[in-house]
Amino acid sequence: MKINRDHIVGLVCIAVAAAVLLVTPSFPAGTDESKYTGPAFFPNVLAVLYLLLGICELILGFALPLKERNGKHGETTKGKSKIDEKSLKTTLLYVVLLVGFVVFFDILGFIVTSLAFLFLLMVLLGVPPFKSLLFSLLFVAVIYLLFGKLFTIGLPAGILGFLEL
Amino acid sequence: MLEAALSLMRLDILLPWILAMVLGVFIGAMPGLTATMGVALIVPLTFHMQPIAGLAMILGLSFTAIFAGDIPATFLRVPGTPASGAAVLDGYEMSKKGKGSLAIMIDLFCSTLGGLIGVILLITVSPTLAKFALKFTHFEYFWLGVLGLSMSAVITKESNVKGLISISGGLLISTIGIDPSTGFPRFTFNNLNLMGGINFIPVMIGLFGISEVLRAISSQSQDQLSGAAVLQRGRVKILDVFKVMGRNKRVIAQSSLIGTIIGALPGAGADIAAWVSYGVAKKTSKKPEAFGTGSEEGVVAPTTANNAALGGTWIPALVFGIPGDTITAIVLGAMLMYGLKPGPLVFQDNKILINQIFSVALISQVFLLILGFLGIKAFTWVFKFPKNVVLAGITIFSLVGAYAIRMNSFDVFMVVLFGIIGFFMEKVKVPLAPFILGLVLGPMIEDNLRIGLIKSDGRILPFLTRPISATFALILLALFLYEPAVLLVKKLRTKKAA
Amino acid sequence: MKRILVLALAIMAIVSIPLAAQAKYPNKPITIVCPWSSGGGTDRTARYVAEALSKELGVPVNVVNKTGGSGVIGHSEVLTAAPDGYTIVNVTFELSTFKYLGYANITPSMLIPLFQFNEDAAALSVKADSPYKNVKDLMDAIKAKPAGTFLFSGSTIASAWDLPRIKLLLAAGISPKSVKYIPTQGGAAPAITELLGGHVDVVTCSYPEIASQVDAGTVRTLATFSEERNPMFPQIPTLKEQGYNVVGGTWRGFALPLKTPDHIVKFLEDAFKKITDTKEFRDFMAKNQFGIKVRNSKDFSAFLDSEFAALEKVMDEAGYLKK
Repeated sequence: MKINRDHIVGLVCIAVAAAVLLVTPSFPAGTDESKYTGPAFFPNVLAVLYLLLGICELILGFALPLKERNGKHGETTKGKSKIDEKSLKTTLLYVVLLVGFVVFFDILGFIVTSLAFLFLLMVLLGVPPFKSLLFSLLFVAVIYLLFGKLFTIGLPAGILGFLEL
Repeated sequence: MLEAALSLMRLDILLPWILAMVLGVFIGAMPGLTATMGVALIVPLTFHMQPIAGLAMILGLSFTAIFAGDIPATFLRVPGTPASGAAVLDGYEMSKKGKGSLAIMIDLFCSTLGGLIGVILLITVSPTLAKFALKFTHFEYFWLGVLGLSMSAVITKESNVKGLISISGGLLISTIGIDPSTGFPRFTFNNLNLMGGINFIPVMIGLFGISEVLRAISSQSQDQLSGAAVLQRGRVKILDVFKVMGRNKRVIAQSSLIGTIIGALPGAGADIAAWVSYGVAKKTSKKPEAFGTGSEEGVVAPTTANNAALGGTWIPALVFGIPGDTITAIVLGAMLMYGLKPGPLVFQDNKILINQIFSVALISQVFLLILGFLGIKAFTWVFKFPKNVVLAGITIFSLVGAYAIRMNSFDVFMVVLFGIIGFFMEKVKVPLAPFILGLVLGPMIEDNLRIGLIKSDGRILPFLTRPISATFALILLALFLYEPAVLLVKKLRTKKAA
Repeated sequence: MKRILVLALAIMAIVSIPLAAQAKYPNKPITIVCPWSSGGGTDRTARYVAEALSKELGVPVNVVNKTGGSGVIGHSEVLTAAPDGYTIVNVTFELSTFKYLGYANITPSMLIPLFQFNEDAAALSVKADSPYKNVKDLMDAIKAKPAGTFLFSGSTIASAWDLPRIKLLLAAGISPKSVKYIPTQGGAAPAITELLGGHVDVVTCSYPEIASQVDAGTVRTLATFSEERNPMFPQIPTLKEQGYNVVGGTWRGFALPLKTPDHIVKFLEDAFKKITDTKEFRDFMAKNQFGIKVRNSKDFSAFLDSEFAALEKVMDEAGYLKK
């Protein structure tokens, strides 16, 4: 018996439902006006639904092995090859860069963070370094002028705040 | 009317009007920047102009922005505005097949036609529609939300259980934040950002856009083209576009009507109009199985409806002086600055002004066709870049666009988080669209149900006995029973024949 | 992560020292944080003030809309922003409610009230075909009919338009729980829509928001929650005239983070005073039908303290107080 995607989905659903049901008892019963359905009503209904759906998925996963159903749906498992190691590494590094962007966006400011992010990302994706630098500068300039100046969106200045851009 | 139209042909009106529409194309095509933000942005500039020039800028901008939101949705799977969520479904699938240019041209012509029909309905039947819209209260909005939700069963091509999981996930996320009925902060863990709730725009950008970039990167070494639709656009003959529209006359007509009516309801807007018309188009289609794989009808329905909804949103504004959506809410505020007192009387007393507004709305459709076409041409400039540069570009515009919604880096985090979640959801075959629909409709269903129950002292009856509510309930019942009934009839027939 | 943060802070400190030493305040762009979305009423006033302030001080003044969470996200900026006078928060009535609602620990003593420039009283309106011609009729009817007969609306829970309703009911000797409140999102407009559709009975919101409906003959306003009749609409009587000693509504002003140096507070206060003294300011407010109420830092502070203290009881009676 191999773990398949239905098992994963089922378990995630049950975990989410459990988490919700753990939190909702702390919700107040609601004001007098909303005594029929308090703030916990809707999340609870959904959590129970999630629990049932999760169990459903688990049963489906055990009762109907994936291959059979895939065959029925005309979908071949052969065509779907696994991600190779190099791509996996690139993908993980992309995620790391995304997280880094979020962390440093407010601290270092839009310009510094975006330049670094774009340059590293393009190098990661195999764009030659000089080109990467050029395109990074281009994107940052376009976004800065469009968002920051034309649409007057206050992008975080960060450590370049003293430049009074 | 003609006189009013001619009075607009002046440089000091035409110039700002067309410039605003050009700006609208930009704003619409940028993920995160919405038509509402665009309108809020230009309104201060209009204070020094004559009122009709300001109103022309606002109207024109909103029409181009709502259309242009479909451009990145079609080519890159990044919805440009909240109203383009449904445009992703079949538009992007067409792009993957190398028919992106055809899809976006269908989009442009249908947006124009939908907008036109919406405006014509606004001119001809707005008092009737406005009175109808006033009948809507929590009971009716609840059913409208449920109706929209039932469309998700229609949207998914995957298994029904996974579709339900996706939609309930969206509904669950929508309960985060301050509960409007009681003011209680739910699932916030004393975090201020969670207090504000999960905004659905960054979620949509993440689930659709970033997850697709992730997929493109993860499948790169195999040179798998599914993730590289970015580079496919294909050539398009204008005659083909007309042929598609000719084939889909009925879908265009029904989507325009649905769009205008939903737009006219103060509690629902262009985004919900697009989803509902997509669902109805699929339900009434002869080839429902083609939806989600690049079906023409699936492209036509949402794009027609979201532009038609814009005409609808002006109906309550013009008839009663109450806003039909966030854009008309800003318009009514701006009118004070023009020295006009917004309300039921301003348009009754100002026949010239209202005819000018109608003319602006009609002529804007012509401009939309031209400027939209130029916008598409400008956008396809993107394809001149190397593919990996485009992937980086999509990422940075998505991230900064999300920040722009509320000037909050929490929303940037949401894009990243839901990008990763979306990637895994697709890996385990949980469809993404129902999740968005759940998130959009969650508050509509929950708040209207609970506040409706407050109104009715906990009785369910008003949800079933009020005329419009009852109609909605019956439509829903019919939707659910239609397919089993057809099957039953077929079975009975074959039995008889045997 | 932490090390980089420290490094970044160190760089910031190094580059800011010489600048701070050489230049007088203000020498760089000022940001006004508006907790409400762009295009709305508060945003319009914030943008007007930003423009005027920029002219007055000679540096750019930008408005940033930090919205969400019933205004708590934007208001909280006053607790976290650097106290250097370059971040000014546009505060509104809701500021006084966040602590009681359990949204955030914000009290008037945790910020420097800088300047108040607006006050809009609530007004009580019913549909034109309603039988109630004055407040007493309405209050008597509420008393006479079973609890829950009357539906009120106006805005969100515990908002500037909801709390005056509570105060009035308490003054009339009626439990707030004997009427139902239908919360709406996004200002008074949805509540007015409900009233026009006949789905609620009474709406409390500012008179200008509903005036056009009154002019069109679809709605009747029974009273304003102000001390005196408003000269902009003198035909509307006050609650006080009708025997109910109740005032209430919303206000708008500006606040600074707690540790902002005194000379900057004074400097900005003077700048605001100059702006509110101009004819352009009065014209702008009149055009937008916003009421003018100017309080300097000291008066604004006293006003906030007393309002905050008084609200606890009202919130408690309404059942909104989080204990």
